[in-house]
Amino acid sequence: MKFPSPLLPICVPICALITSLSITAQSAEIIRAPYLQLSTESSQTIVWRTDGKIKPEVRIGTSIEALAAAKSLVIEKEEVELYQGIKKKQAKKGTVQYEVQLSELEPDTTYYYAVYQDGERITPADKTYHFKTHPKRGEKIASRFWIVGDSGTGGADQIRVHDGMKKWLGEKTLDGYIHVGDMAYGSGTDPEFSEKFFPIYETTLRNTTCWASMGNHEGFTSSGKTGIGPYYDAYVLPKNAEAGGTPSGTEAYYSFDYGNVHFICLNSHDLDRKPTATMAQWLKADLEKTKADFLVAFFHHPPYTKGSHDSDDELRLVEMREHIMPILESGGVDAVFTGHSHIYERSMLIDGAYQTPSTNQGVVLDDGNGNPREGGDGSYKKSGGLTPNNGTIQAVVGHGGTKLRRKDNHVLMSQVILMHGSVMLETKEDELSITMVDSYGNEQDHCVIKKAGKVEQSIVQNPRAPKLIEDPRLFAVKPEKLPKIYDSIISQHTEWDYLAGEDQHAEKGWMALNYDTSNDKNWKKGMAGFGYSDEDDNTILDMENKFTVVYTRKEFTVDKISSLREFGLAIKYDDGFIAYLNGVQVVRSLVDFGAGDEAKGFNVHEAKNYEFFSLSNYKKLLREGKNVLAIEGHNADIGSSDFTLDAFLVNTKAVARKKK
Amino acid sequence: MKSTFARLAVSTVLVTQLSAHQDPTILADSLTHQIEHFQKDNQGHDLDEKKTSQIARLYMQRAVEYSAINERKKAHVDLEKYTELSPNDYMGWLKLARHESDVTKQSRFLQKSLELADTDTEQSYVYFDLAEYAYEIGNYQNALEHCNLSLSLIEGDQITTTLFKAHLLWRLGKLDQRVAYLEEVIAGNSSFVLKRAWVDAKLDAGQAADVKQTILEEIASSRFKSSWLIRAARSEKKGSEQAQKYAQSAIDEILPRLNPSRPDETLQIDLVRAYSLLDDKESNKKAQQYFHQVKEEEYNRCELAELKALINKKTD
Repeated sequence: MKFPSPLLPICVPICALITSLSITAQSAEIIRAPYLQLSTESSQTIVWRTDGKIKPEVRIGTSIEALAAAKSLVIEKEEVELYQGIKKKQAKKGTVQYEVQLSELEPDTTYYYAVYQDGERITPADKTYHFKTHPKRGEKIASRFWIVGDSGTGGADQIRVHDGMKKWLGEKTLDGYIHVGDMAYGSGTDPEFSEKFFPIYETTLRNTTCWASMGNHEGFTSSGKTGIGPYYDAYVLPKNAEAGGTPSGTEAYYSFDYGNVHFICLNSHDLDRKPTATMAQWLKADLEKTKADFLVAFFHHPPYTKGSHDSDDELRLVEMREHIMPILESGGVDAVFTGHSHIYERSMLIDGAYQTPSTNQGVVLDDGNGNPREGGDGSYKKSGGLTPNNGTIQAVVGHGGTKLRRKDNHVLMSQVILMHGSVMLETKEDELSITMVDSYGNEQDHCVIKKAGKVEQSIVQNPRAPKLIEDPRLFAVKPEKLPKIYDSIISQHTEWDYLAGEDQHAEKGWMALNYDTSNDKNWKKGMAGFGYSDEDDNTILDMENKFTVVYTRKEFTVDKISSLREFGLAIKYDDGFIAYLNGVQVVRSLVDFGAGDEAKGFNVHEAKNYEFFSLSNYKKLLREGKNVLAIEGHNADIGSSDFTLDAFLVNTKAVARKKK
Repeated sequence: MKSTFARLAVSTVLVTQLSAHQDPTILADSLTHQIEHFQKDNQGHDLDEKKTSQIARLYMQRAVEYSAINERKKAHVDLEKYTELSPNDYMGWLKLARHESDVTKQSRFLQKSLELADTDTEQSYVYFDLAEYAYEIGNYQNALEHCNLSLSLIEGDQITTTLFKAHLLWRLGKLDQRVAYLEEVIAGNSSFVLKRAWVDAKLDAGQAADVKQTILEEIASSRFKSSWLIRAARSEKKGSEQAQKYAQSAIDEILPRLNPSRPDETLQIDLVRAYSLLDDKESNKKAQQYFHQVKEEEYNRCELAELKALINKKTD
């Protein structure tokens, strides 16, 4: 056994960076709690920060009651050795970062640890401070990795996603945590890492190694080319194949093994993505060498998305698809995890989908949902081991905490889910599974790739369209009482464009600013409100037993966005509605899922007083000049005795007058 | 002079963007509205320093968004506006140079950027671009000098710059110097790409015997062996039976992996190499055919130049 006896502490070699350990501030406190980095079969790095120099020591043991010093290398980085860019983006004065690399450990073994300062324990005697070394490379062992993207707001949704994962996890444990980038908004500065990443995930980071990929927000202050910046200060990543794989010589891209799973991290942000550039050359070499059973890649910019970003338009996304995906697929990749687009999108089993714009013709190998559970379409099948071009699952996991958005459904997706959450990647025997866990710990998507024998893939002609799930809670803004004093941005009972009638449904994009109702003769003009039978309507609609949905649009002008404070929608409605501001959904009330003729889940609501839905959080959607508010009103039942849709837009504090 | 702490500022012109990034098309559109309203509000007024900086920033932000959607001409126009309004920012001139197709103007913009670059990191970035510029106009010696300057100013993992320097030494026919340089570099950096470049440098310099063992070890330990089989072929006497055998084995491995309608183009390049090592006209013709399928604009210019040399040597 390599681990030393608790009674035989081994001396701690201190790296040359340490100038004077004797200058120990007795009062130094931990300002960034201990977190795990760079796990291997025989080593583990533990990192933390204090607000002054200390004499650090990490004690470990396979039992929490018997911790002892272990063979380790301590690297001490003073504040001046961390990021030295723009002052307010730097670590606080006096900050010292400690990186302790524990070595000569046993593989696949759980160790408890504690941080000591001058012989005094400064981390609590808590069982959650533990780590598990990697199993031996190639060993066929079950694994579980948590994958998160675009989470670094420091807000409630980010916290809920973390809590949801823990609820789902229960007594199970994680073998690793992968972050696909944008972990510290807005610029990935040192203070932002300290505020929006480390404290939020502290309870997970203390016992689970986080393997990171740099997002564009970290790219504001960190450089992949030089490996310098707050992102590179925060992480200790393998540049020398310490945890398996091929040495990259840089922390910007790297690979590692966990048992029989090979992981590849790429930098899609600020390095050349051409197929013969340095990163792609390394990727090709790494793929030539790996002999794992499963192959997983992760990076920030998604090759396939129609969430808050569009992979048909944006250069980085196009290049990752056209240049990098062919190399990964000819190397036999099983799953690719990305972020950047604030949504969860999970593809069908695909191969060779490199065209721009993306098409689903000739590239889908299985258009089912990959779910082997009851009611599902069954697992995706692939050949055992790593077989070139045998099918890939793409998962965009940019739903880790920031505002969600969906532009369209990408044609290669099986599931498109507009809910906050994260993903659990598990491998066991010959199966790799992907499970999307929402903020409440519920599973929203589950698929499995089963790899056995030899599978000859064939192309699915005209594959199915994606399944869309939207979290109604996202748009379920709680109504308030309409304030007594307000200015109208859209006046009450003014003229709107509307579309209503049997089999009349608005075409795609009807709610967008540039949509022109004059191109469709079915659109008419009428005074708000719209409805029938309860004597509160200005435009009477012959809806009863004929149709249930009415589409309305009203253009308005804003001179100065800065003059708006609490602006919002004043509305009387019966039964439900969905409102869009400049084409983006902002309020959904009592219509649970879908929109237009695909809307479902209606609830009954009587129009009494005007209710007020604040839109202040959506101020960014406004532009100075022309804007449009579009509302679709829904009746819960076609035979309902009444219907009302009567809306106007108000500013309740500041003055923002309609342009005359 | 080398930076004291080697962990200097990464240039951050755009650190002002605080919220999560959205679709660049929408952002560019929104920035256009902001610019139009700014212009309307300030029509006929002289802009003070604050307002000048405000509008300059909007142009730079829009240029970044245009670049993200590959609207290079629009980005160029905005960068010109930015450098007019904010003439003392080295990054503005550097970005403008990167978007400029006229070599005379490009050179002028790079020189301007170099004059304004303040820190070692900033200067290193500009020197790298100057090296690339010199390479484009065929002044390899000058490119090498700029590359050396770029490397000398900052520490960090500069693998791309290192490989560029190695390529420039090849360009200048300094094959032994290239081997020595890469040997020195790989002593301090574990990058497998650098190690492979060193093996290639040895083969180019006629020192195949020194790397034969390494090549055989790589063949033995790799799942896909073709790139090392090609090197093994190159390590043998030109046209020898063993060289032909290695090259043919590489081709036999690559062909089943190559999807003809959607190829991994790095495999196509390997196929070009392997066919050019076979000693018959038919194979050389195939090498040319595969080479012509390669989209040159997508490729690293150094690798492409070395590949062209390999084919031409064979077909001369």
